[in-house]
Amino acid sequence: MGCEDFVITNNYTDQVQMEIDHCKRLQIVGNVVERPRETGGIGMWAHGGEAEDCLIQGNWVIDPSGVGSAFVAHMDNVGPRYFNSKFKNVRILDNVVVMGTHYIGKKRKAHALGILLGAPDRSQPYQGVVFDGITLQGNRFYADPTTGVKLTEFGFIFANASGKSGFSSII
Amino acid sequence: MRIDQKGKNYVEENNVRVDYTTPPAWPANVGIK
Repeated sequence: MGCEDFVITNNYTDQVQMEIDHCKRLQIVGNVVERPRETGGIGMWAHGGEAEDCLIQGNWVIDPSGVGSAFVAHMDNVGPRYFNSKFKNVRILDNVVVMGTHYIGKKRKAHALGILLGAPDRSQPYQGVVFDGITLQGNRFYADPTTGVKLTEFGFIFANASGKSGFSSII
Repeated sequence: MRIDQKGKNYVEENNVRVDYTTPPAWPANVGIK
């Protein structure tokens, strides 16, 4: 089931992710998500559906953990269930990501991916995937280098796509 | 992001990384413990 005309604002969560799937006219504004678990902090995980006209603005994500990223717009997994996922007019604006605050003095390293678009595994095939009208603007990524935070080879923003995945463009 | 993955409807600008030694001032509703 999807959602339409949905607003999530001024919430605080600890150790959960804020996941909205199959949505149209969504606004996620001014929330704080601390230590989100596993796959991401705030975002849209498409399972063959659409995320259309989505605004994610002015949120804070602090210390995404597991394999997570702070903000995501991607297919949740691999396989036919995730074919035909479409992301249209998605704007991720003026958000803040803070990495490392819970890792000071600990051996565990913080992850460093701020925004992830595309596929969780670009070596796997997808069909009918569309990214059209993606805006990433004015986001700030704070990292404490003493806690082991370092840029991935892709930097803080990563569009995970390839010819093998069946879509090579984030347009 | 690789340059060949950008298209005319993709906008990426004014995103910055800040290496910090003191965390930024939290917004009022942050429950940092």
